[in-house]
Amino acid sequence: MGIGYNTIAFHADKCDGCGKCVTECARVHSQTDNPAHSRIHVAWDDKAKWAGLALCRQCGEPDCVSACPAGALVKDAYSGVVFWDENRCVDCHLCTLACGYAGIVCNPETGRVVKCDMCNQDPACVKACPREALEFKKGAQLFNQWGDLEDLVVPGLSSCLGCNSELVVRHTLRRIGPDTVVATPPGCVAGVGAVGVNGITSLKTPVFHPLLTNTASMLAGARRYYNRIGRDVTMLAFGGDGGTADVGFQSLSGAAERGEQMIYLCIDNEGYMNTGVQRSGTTPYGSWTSTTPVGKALKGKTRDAKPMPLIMVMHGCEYVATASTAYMDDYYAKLDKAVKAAKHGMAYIHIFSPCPTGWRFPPKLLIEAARTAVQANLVPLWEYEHAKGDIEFTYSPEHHIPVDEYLKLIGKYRHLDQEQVDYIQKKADRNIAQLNKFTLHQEITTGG
Amino acid sequence: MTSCKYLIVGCSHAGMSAAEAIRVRDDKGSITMLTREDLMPYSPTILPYVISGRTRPLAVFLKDEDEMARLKIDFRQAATVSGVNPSDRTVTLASGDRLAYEKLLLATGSLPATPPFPGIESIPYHTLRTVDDALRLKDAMAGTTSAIVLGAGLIAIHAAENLATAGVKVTVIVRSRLLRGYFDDQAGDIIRQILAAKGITVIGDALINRIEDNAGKCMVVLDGKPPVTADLLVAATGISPCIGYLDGSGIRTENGVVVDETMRASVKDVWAAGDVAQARGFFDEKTQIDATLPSAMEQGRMAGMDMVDDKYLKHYIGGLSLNTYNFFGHRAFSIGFSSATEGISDADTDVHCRPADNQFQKFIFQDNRLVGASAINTRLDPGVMYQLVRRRVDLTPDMSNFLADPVSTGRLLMSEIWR
Repeated sequence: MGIGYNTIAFHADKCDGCGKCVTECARVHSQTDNPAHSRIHVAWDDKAKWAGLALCRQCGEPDCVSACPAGALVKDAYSGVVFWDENRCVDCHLCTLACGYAGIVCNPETGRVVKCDMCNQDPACVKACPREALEFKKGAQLFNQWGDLEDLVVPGLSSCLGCNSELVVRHTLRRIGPDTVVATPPGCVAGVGAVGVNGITSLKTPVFHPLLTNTASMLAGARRYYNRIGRDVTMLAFGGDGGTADVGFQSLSGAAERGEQMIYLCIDNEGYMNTGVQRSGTTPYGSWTSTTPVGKALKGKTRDAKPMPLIMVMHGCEYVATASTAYMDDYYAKLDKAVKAAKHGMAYIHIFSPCPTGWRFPPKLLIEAARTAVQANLVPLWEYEHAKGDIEFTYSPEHHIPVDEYLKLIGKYRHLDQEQVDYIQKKADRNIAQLNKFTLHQEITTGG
Repeated sequence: MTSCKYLIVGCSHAGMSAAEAIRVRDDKGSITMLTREDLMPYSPTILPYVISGRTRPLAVFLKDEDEMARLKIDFRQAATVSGVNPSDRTVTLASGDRLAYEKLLLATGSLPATPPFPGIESIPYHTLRTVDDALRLKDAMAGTTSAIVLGAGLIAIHAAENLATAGVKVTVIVRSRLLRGYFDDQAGDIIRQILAAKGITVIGDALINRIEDNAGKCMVVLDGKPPVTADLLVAATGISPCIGYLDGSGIRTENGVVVDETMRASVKDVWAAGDVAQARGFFDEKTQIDATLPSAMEQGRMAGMDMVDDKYLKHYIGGLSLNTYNFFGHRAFSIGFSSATEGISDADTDVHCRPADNQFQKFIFQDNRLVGASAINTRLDPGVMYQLVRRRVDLTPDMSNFLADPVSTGRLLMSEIWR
């Protein structure tokens, strides 16, 4: 496998052209606030309120490096940064012609070129931006860290185009590793081939197919058996929302209350997506499904979704978290904690899983949907560790976008009227307020 | 006879870019790279800086042994190719050895053309194409007080600047005027005045009658102008692609090796790139020699990609006059047309010229698309302007903004179009 690099991402929609990044870059690199010394420049269009960014993209195959006759520009294989060697440079400036991004420019004060060096992997411009328009993306580190691990799912699952569940299954197993027994109750994950046909499965770990009703209790039994023979094997359920919040709830609730050692992963695609898009207990208010149709009398689902993750917190699980595939670094960190927690009790992760087929949106918008739902506070990312007793946000809900930004991406919400949108907005605000107040401090010790 | 999968003849920008492009797709296929010199790969562009001492001769190399090993290149120095035999896919070396290839890239570059002046053969003169040339010139400069530079191109005036910086009195003799392909009269004047202020005399519109020895010095006799005498003569009156070794190979050559839109020569499994290649132009399809570093890099990369069937390969958009020129702390660049030409009227140009500040900026448009940008001492981004030309960006909706603030407008368009 190759190596991935950290990058500075620019969100033009958040930039207001204040120029703090420019001043800070100049200050860090020249101890003055003269923008001539800055390696980052913002072109601000006041009419359109839109920004263009002149900054080195640290290209994969950098033209500036190829065009340098002096060998003064080198792409560092470890960090990916294109470094400039001032001693070798002969000031021919051919690099400024080769770069189409104004990423290496002449500093008129010195007559020499300047370019971004990523501040030794801690870019000052990103920290200086008051509006999070610049973001230091470290996602590539996941690739470097885990990219060489074995994908425990065979190629070619029969999932729909753009399936989020496949993404979840591949990443989760890659992280948790082969010493795992997987349970896939009826649902999309089983349906796409995880349990296989004629005795051949698509997972490289042991996998079994419980009933919708008994996933957690079967895993509990398997774990007790391994405990008895002295083997530390992780029990992992890939449940859908129906198998978790509805049909399988009694066995899950019981296992959580007993503190059974497992990771229970609920892949929440907000309904029964593989049997014809019926509503489930986690289908949100307003959604179209085949059983909450849109017509004269009905305008989608009339009831709110069950707050499954909070219900699991109230069970006193060792660890509970929410996740989204748009925030993989966050998810990986949570998996790490879940693996540890599952040695002592139940770790429950509720992962938001947009479904292009059932929710009626183009597959290419999958990650966009997964991201916008988080940004709109409809899927707040948080975690709960029993030892601490508090819910902690892992993605700040403070600067959120309107729910509409998310709803308009998704076909199942196309019919919503303003009243419904307002309701969903209020509900989202109230959920955040509730989470903010939530605490389950375990100051009382159990008797006996 | 040894054999390899990819044989690259030449190791400057075209050859190196090709090797790197091959390695993106083919990590294992054997690459052999030949150079006629006994040095590591370097760029002729660096040579003027060697004579001034700005760059130490040993620091000119683009790649060292480790980097060549990392690219798994079997790098052979002092290996001059004397013939190519496409029928059995071999090349013959001057040593008599033969080498078999599966795919061959000719990136042999160019050598200085012999100046077309009577008497030149009787005078020792310097050229500037190899490290040896540069070191010889550097040695000759010691004890020299005056020099004549023949030629109007970048090599000529870079040489002139470096000689002048070393304290030599320099006269540049040009047939019409300096850098005519890159800058118009107004810009040319600004450049000439800056050079004059640094003690460089430029004699323009000069017809050389003959060159002769005058008491151990070199004398250039001009038609209708007084003769010029100096200790040292540097000739940079053009280059000539190295194609002599292709005689009898069946590979089609004119001024250089004629190539198609993916740098393929007329014969199967042979490509050419860089100064030696004669490829289509950007503004018209007629093939031309386009001896600039950015073109060598692009052509080399394309050839390499085609040699490994890289599916991301696109057709060559054509060579474009393109360069940066930095001199005595001033910075200039030129892209595409610099003067009104066929099909373009003065009405399609926008010029800001402030000779007192040594500033100049000129845009040439065709159908509201940028086809030429040249500038001295501005804050324009040459690379952004180049992309606007290359991508034929329609500036109709942005024209007034572009003319008012080309730097910001260019950067905004860049962020929008080729983010």
